[in-house]
Amino acid sequence: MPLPPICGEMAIKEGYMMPFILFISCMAIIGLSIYLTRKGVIKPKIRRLPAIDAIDEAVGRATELGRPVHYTVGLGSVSNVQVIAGLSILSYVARKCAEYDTRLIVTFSVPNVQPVVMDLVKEACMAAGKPENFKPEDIRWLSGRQFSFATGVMGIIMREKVAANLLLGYFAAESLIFAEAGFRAGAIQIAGTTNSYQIPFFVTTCDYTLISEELIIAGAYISQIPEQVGTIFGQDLIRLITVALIVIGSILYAVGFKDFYLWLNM
Amino acid sequence: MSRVIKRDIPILLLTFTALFQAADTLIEEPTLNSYADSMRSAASIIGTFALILSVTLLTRLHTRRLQRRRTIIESTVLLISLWIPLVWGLWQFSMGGVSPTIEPFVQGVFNGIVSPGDSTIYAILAFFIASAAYRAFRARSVEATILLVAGIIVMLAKAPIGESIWSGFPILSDWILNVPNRAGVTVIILSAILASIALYVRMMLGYERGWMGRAAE
Repeated sequence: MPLPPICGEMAIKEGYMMPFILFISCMAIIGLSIYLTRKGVIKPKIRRLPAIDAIDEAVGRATELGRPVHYTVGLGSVSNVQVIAGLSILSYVARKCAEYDTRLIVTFSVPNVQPVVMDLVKEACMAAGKPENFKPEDIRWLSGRQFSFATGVMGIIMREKVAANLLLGYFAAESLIFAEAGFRAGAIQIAGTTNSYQIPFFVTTCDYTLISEELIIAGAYISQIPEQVGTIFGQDLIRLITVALIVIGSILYAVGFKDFYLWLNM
Repeated sequence: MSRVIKRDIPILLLTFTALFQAADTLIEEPTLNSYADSMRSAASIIGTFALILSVTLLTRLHTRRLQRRRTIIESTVLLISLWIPLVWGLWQFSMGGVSPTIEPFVQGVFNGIVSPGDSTIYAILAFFIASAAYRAFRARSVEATILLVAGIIVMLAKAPIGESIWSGFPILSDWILNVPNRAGVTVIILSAILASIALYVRMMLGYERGWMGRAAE
């Protein structure tokens, strides 16, 4: 049944009424969580993420060995949520590397990531009080083609004998090539992606893995800013509501009450 | 002023664009849908300009290496591979209007060099998977043992010999893939979606600023 217009020709798309309600609800819940966290009404705590805690160890190891750190955000463009999350962590890694005078090599596949990475690393070096550690030639676009990019990254990892290999972003079939190259170079490896097909490769090959949402919330985890942590609290509230809806829906459907299911698909 | 240009305007643009695109997904309105479509095209065109920056930096990097007499062969090959097809394709296009994507020389480079190279690297994955599987399939803990058993069942079901040994392997493999595996994957996808929503809110409120090359305060 077509939905009634909101005003003039404007109407909610057919089958999109529930996504519309959920979108507004999610925004409201996250907004409320930020407000309550800022006011100090709630004080959420994030569980420890060993992979993020290990970043300091990885950079420290690279410093001791006098070898570079390699960081890649993978195949995605700057509009990809995993790449955005990877860039948040890069800012922290770049600052640590600059503080310890450790060389950082950043690689990516999509050219529009380049200006963002250049700015991030440059700002991190300046924030660490070491602007001379910013080296544009270590921020490398290798190729827009998946396997050409993979070959380039593999070559860098092996030639430069990187001590730490950080794979945080969007990865596809080339994930195992990167991780195996890092393993052969003897690097400490920290990886993270939301791609469920690549997570097993990272789990089996890397020392630490950020699985799915852990990658996306890593930026907030590192910053520890109450408002950022508040969004994670909101996200967990939505998750609880979603699980409750799934359980209630499954029970009602199983006992033959299908209206709830139809309502969720409205 | 610097703060407004570097921080506030990008956040305002992002918020407007994000809400506009969300409205396009949820709401049926011809003018709104048409503007949203144009906005996506504009974003692709603007993104393409970044290629010029990347190509320039890559050329500069390898030219410097050649000047310093480091990695002479690799840098020469890279610069030739990068610039000759590009210049040739553009030359042919300007002279005869032949699209670089169907120009015979550029096509030859792709079909004769790039595609076989891609296939070779993809094929290497088979050996890497074997190496990674060897390390993963060691029963060092309860979880690793479950992984080992599940892996062996799925592997036997996919190999012709598995069905010859026991006809139940394909059924068991399908159950593993469709029930416990799918449940796990659904959780991963759902978590990622919820985390993405929270990330977008953080970006729109200016807490998350990695996307514009700035660290969080």
